[in-house]
Amino acid sequence: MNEKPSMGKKDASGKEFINNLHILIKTALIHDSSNIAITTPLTKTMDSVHLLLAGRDSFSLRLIHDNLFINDTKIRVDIENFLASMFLTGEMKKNNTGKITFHLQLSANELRQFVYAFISPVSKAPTSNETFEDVLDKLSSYSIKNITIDRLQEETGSLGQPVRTTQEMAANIYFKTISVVSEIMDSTKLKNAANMTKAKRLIQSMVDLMLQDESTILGLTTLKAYDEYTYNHSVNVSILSLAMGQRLGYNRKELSDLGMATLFHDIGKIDMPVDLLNKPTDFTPEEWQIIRRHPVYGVKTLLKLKGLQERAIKMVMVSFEHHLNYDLSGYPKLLSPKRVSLFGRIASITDCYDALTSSRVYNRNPFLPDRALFFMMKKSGTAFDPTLLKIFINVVGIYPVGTLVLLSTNELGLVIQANPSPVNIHRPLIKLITDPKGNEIDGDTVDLSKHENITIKRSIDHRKYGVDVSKYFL
Amino acid sequence: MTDAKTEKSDYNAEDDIDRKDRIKLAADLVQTLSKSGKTLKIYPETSPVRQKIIDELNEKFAKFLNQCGELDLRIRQFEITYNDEVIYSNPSKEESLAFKFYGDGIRSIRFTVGLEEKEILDFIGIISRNYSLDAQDNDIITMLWEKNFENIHHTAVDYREEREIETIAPEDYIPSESGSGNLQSVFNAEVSKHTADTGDDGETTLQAAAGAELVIEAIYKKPISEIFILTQEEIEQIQQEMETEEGMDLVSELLDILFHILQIEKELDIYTEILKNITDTLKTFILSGDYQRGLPILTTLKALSNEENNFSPVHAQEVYSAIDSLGVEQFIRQLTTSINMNKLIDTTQLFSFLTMLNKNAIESISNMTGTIEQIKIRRLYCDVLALLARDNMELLIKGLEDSNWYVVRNIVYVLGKIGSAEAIKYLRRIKNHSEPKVRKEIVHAVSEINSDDAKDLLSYYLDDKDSSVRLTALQNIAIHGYRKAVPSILNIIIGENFDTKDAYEKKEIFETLGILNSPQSISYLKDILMKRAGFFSKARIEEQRAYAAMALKKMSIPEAKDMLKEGLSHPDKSIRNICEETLKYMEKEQK
Ligand SMILES: [Fe+2]
Ligand SMILES: [Fe+2]
Repeated sequence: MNEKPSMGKKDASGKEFINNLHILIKTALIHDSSNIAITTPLTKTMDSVHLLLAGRDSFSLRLIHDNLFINDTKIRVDIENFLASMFLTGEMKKNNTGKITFHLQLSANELRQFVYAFISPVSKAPTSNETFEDVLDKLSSYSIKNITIDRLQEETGSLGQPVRTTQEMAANIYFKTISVVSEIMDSTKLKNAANMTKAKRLIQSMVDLMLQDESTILGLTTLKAYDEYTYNHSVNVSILSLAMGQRLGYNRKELSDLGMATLFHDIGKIDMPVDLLNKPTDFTPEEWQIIRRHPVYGVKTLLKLKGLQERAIKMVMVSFEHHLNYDLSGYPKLLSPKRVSLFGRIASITDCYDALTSSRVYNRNPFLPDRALFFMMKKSGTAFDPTLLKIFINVVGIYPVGTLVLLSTNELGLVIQANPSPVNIHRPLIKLITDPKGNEIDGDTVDLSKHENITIKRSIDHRKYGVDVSKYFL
Repeated sequence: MTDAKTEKSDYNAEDDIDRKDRIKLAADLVQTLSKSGKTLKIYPETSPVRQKIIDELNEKFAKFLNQCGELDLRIRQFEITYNDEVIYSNPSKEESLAFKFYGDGIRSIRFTVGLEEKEILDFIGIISRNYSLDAQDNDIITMLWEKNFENIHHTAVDYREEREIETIAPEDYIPSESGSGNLQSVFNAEVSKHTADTGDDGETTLQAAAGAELVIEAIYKKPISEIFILTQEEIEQIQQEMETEEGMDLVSELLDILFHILQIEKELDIYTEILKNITDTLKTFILSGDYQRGLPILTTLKALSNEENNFSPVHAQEVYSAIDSLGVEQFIRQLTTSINMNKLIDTTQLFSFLTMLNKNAIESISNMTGTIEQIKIRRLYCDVLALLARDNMELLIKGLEDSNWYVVRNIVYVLGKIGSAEAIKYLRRIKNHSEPKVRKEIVHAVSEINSDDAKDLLSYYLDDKDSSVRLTALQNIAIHGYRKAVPSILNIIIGENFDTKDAYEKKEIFETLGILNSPQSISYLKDILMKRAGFFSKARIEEQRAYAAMALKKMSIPEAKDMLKEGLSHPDKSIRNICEETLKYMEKEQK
């Protein structure tokens, strides 16, 4: 517990360790132990092991209640490491392992042997006690002494509502949803119906949360991942769409359909080359041509989801329509006119907004939220349904949740909630994060509609300064 | 000591009785719940039995909840427990209520005070549904979630981990400090930039001066406080659209999208995939008798199977193959079964559908002519075949070898309907078919065909061993005035078997001879008419004379009259009489 003061640094090295170990195990799953490909991840993992061992005899990676800990410090799941965390959690559970301890004398060779011992029993029935014994046997047969493992503690599964804050639940659902989307979209074929059911359950939880507390979950959309753009974007579009759907008064079923349909609006991208999607420079006209195929590819993929059921059809509609503008000027280019469904029109707004404000694909330098909204307002009635755009702005505000703003008082504030009244749309609720001299504070929440003398001077690009605003929502 | 002990055990015993009672009640309630799911499905809404079951359930729930506060059930794989006692157990995966919940991930269900009849009914509706039919869209958890019951709560394992959802204490979260130590630098840069802001683009300057409001007001040309309030008109318009969508036929919407894609999609893989989905939907429509939605789809597909209406011959061929998939025997068989089950078929639309199919449907439909139950529809199938096979008769011929005589008869009917001279060569092959009904149908068919070969085949049946076949042949010869058949008819008259025929057939034979009105018959008729009694019995002679007269009465050629006039001076009085009478009749007819 007395380790807490140096938390920040350790947290960072813990995350790095998690990420490196994730890559190491994944590489080990593909290549055998003599393969050259294993060298770099092995070295990197050793480096981060050494960082964590600094001044200690050992440290442990622990799995407690689905959360990873380095010794007693919980690894905070964020956009950079959620996939690694989920993966390691899964691997440890498979082997019924609750604790892996790394000792000072550990060599790279031992680490390598350990990793292969750890991954090999996966063919056994998961989470049986045997798998843990198997790993133990392997470790002793290789005489690995500097990595030790402990069995996962049986958890007394208590029924009833889990006690969590809304923020924690929101973050938990958010990351789980990203993870499910990534599993579905990585598997290229939607053969795994179980994943779809997972996604459906998560969307149901998302709707529940949305009905309880819209702002918290909207705040999560300020998370913009740089590596997992498509997944992160999918979840954001789904959340923003659900918020709009709630304003429109959709019932629970309609909301869950809307959530699912928008979550998979870009599913057609599973047929696009990954290199293209993650290309660091602008697209050439030829590349654009390929990108523009994704709505139809999406239809093709979604059609395999069992014929004529309502939800599947709505998913097809959103995939096909989300780039068709209100005036049909988008893509795919149609030969005859078509009515774009409300779901499609909603998705085209939320998709555009999230894309403009994320630093992927559409623009290398993302727009600030208010700038993105100006851009979209200019296209009201052409690209976007004017009424739905108004509703969208009512949902996110002009300074959306998560925007860093400079106030007329020279204080810096963070928008934490849109003002519910459209009359005061430019006067959101702000959490003060610096004083007028620029000193960081854990300030009050100010409702600008009640303080007419305080105005927003402008929004500020938090990314330019490396400020992590999502931490206020996690 | 002893007192205390006694007191304690007494207390326990009482508690135990109470507990036993509760468990009994709970077990009874769950049993009733499990049974009513099945029974309620059987009885219609208005049935008094149904109402009785509902009342009973209602009462049991009310009683339990009043006494015990809430009903908290735990779900195991095949068992349901209450207060750690098993109160329901059924090891059948198909029937077990416990397994139904368990399989979906539900681990507990709790009913609380205030439970309403509507909730009970909805709950039963959920548990008695057949989920295997639409597993993708609806599972128990989803249905429970959608209903959002106020007094029925459930817990489930997290689908992801297949374990109970974890509890994380709030203090577990320790926010990271990374990336948050630089607010001072933000402040320094932004505040100083603000005071020195001059060289940016117009928009930024505008914004810098007055915030986002002015930019937005410039875009909308309205004060900001008015822009984002929805007008009554906008609200109504959007509600209108929501209502429209609620009543919308989603399958038609899907088809609309699929056809839009066919119009623009050249990539063959996708084109084919989309096409397959369209045809599958079309099949569903047709099998359910929904021609209203089905026919327009097939019409569009027909158009697209034409090269001129498509991107390339390859694409057109794909569409053609898609239409082929509607003509395969498997589908036509399904269609026939569905028609047999549903007697109310719009025959006009069924006819339109079938006649739009490709050639490959010919064999499938002809095989099904023996399976279809309604005569009306069988006729329709045959009429369809006559249209489809007009230029592809060879595709029908296989049916002529079918072991079921009725299939053969149907194909013969179709060949007659087509009426092409080419069919004769196929019909000839089966002219001695063992089934009289088939031979009779051949007679009808060849009557429809206008060729000498056809007429020859018709005459062939004059000597059939079945009288109804012979009669049909006669009638058709008469109708078509086929004089070439005269020698055959005369052969029958003078043949050995003539006497064995019944009176009706004999009469038909002579009448036909009369209708054919051929000079060739005159000398034979004269022989019969003027034959004297002697070797033959008198009665027989008279019978034959009457038949000959019958034939002559139908004739109008001068040779007939000449012969009769000659007879007026015959020495036999009875011959003179019959000639006179016949002549009179003919003259009257001619007037
Ligand atoms: Fe997209
Ligand atoms: Fe998108």
